[in-house]
Amino acid sequence: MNLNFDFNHIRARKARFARLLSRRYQRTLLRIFAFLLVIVAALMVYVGLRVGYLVGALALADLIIYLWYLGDLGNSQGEFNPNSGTIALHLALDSRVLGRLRAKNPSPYDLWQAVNGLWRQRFFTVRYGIGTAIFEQSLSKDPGHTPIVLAAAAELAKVEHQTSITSATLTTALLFTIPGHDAYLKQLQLEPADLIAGITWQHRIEIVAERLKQRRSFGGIARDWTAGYTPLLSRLGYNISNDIQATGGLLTRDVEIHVKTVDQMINIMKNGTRNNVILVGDVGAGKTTSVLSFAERLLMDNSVPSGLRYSQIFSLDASTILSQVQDRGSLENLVLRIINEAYHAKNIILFFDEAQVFLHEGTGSVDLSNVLLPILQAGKVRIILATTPKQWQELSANNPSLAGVMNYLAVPEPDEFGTMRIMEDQVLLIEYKNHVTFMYQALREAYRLADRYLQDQAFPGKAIKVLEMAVSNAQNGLVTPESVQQSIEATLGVKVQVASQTEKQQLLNLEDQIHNRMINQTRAVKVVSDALRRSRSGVGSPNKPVGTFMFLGPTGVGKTELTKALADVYFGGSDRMIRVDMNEYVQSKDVERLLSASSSETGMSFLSQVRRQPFSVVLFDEIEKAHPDVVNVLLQLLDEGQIKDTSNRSVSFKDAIVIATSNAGADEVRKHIEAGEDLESFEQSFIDQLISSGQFKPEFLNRFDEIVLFRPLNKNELLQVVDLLITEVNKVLDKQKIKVDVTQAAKQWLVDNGYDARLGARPMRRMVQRSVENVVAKRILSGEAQAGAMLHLDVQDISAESVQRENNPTK
Amino acid sequence: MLLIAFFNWWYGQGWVWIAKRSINKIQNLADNFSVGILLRTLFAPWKQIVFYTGTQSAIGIKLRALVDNMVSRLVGFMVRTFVLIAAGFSLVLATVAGILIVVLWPLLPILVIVLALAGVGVAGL
Repeated sequence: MNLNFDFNHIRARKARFARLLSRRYQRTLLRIFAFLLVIVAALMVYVGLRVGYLVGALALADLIIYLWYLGDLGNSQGEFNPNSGTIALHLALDSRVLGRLRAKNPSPYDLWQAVNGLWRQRFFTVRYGIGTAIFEQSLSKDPGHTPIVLAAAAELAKVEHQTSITSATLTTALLFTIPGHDAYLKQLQLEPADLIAGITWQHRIEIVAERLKQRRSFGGIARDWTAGYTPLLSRLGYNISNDIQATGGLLTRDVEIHVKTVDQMINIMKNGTRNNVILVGDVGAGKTTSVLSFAERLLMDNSVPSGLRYSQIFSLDASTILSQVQDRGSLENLVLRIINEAYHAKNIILFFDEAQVFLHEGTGSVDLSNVLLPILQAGKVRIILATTPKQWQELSANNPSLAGVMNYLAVPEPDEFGTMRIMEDQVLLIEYKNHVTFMYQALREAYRLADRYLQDQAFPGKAIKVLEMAVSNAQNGLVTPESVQQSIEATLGVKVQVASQTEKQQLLNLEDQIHNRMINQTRAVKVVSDALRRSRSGVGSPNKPVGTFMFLGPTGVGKTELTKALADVYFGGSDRMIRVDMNEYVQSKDVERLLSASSSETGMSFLSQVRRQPFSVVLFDEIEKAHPDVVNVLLQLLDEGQIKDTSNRSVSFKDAIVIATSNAGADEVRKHIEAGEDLESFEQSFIDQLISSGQFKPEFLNRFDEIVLFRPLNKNELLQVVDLLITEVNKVLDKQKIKVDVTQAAKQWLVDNGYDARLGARPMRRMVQRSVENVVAKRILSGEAQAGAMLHLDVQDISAESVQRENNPTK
Repeated sequence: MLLIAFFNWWYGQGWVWIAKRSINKIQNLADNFSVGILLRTLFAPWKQIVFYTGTQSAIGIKLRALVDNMVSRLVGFMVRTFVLIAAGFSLVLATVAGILIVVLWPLLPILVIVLALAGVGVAGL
């Protein structure tokens, strides 16, 4: 790339002169100065002072310079040809940069000095976190390196279809030529493409700002004189067009698919035969935005057919209409009056948002299809309806004649690129309303988290919702990716932020903490701890559950206890465990109940619980009891980390640990252990046996991350279980400041009398309850044990209680 | 050099720029008065106040509706004509001002020199 720079070129001189007036306050001062000079000159001439003419000349010169700035200096366009092999810097550079370039033979550092402090450069500092230090420290001061920077800038300008090299392009090019910039960008969670998107974003902001500055015509004072009065509509409806007019036009992004939707709406409405459109799209896909965009086009686009131009769109709300009437007859009468008013006014388009509430009988909704059908068939009144694909499907099935007269228009969800562009526009409104500034990375994070956690809504609506939520977590007015993560964590109770130091320590010592609550089963504890560490360090797959485990083994060995301990220790409480008793899903028809999206009087459905609390431990207890069809449903959950409910909405398990427990083959395990075999030695053959005996299908077992065998507890381990149980008793008694101490002999007695090889640790709880807790209860009631007391229990204390109970079991 | 660039613009693109600006102002004024709409709908009924009669209606009712509709159109015509007249005046004023600016434009730099010379008391001024 050849480079030449004529420092004294007239464009460069003009740019340097224009810099004197580049700030708004400078131009304001110039105008005030001219005005004052005119007054002084007039006064001087009036009193006969000849010098007044000189002052007048100064005032006029002032005005002329101001006009020159407005018409020429402030809008000097570059003449950049990206395809020529030579860059004439005095022609190619944006005049704002050119005016600040002081070196005749500029180095990359001189170029940086020229852009540093300009709005487009500061944009990258604020919105991307790219500080000035990297430029100050890394840019070359050798003019010989400048062509490389300008070649990069030329390439960017070419991509962006720019006619000059702007400060944004130059800043980006300067950064791209710094060695090691990739690593620097990665630290900021950025890719080079994000910076290029930033150049486009800036350009877009400038266009929007320019649009808002321009005077916009909405038809003038006589626009509505040919339209009729609409008192009823004004009272019961909401005039969208008025809103647009009041705000001077919305910031509606010209996303290709939305432009297409609006074009189709205009095409349908201009024909005048069937003047209706039903917009069908998921919640958040942009149905209402499309209507707003349509309203804006009708007001401001000269190419709109004259029959539609300046039409007013009134949005109708079912609850407002319902609140006005007592009975169905009055309701139909009212709706007819509204439609009649719209018809006679001639310039009204009615918009029924969430059309299902007007076409379906229910709480807060009403079936008006009988009223609307003849009106839609006649096509005399322009009507827009909006609904979701599911509702449209139901409507088509229940009322085919109504569906038949409507002009179906799909509102598809924009792709990631389109969504990001919409977010960039919408964020300006959010910033304006809340006095905050969003970082670009916050937008990316909002997109990512909305995609992951708000699966029952569509883009761009759900991403914008996340952005709005993040405002409350802004720090010093800046919304960062962390702000977005905090808001998601607070709303959904999931963990998305990088683990804090305390949490890291907790994760590293998770086994110890779990072992405080359960005895042995070291392997099981380790595999679940490993899964959590993988997930929180970002090593695990983000598209699967945190971990999926099958716990096999006899009853009373700690399978469920481990799940509870995990929920308590790491997930924040035992309420974080969602337990599904598979004994309740033994028939094929139970699949529907498992996938139910609704909640009944008896409680929330399983999937509703997961949707409400995605960060949890999901326990499928006694999985071997479930019907094979139920098990098949779980295959998808284990594979993809999500399943669809009966309403076809996805429910994510990607933040959950999924554990299935089974007693299948428990006797077999016990036999092996009693024969003195290690778990590891017969684990694989045992699993093969479970498959060959038909208890589990191989495709089901293979989907678990780990299958863990729990071994029966021996008497020594049960002694430790007794310790844990007594600790629990002491925790309860702590409120009364009473403590229990059980002697080693008494503990041994409890184990000897409570041990049952088949039931594991389970009888121990009963034993402690029966012996220790009963003794303590009696002593408290008799006044023997008071606050501050320490109760020492020995064998004779607890055995007496136990014997007494056996002799008189009814007590 | 800079001065040449200034004169070059002032008597070239600058003159065109100020003319376009004046035309824009006039267009904006016409938009504000809805001149186009007023002319297209000059005889339209006022605010859609129209009386409809059925085909079977008595001749008296039809005549009454005809008269009422004519009154509505007359009211519309009168209001619109009044606004059109006001718009006409405003547009004439704006046009005259625009023409004056365009005509005076080339004289402004000369006027600066003339006033400056008069200020310092050059003979004859």
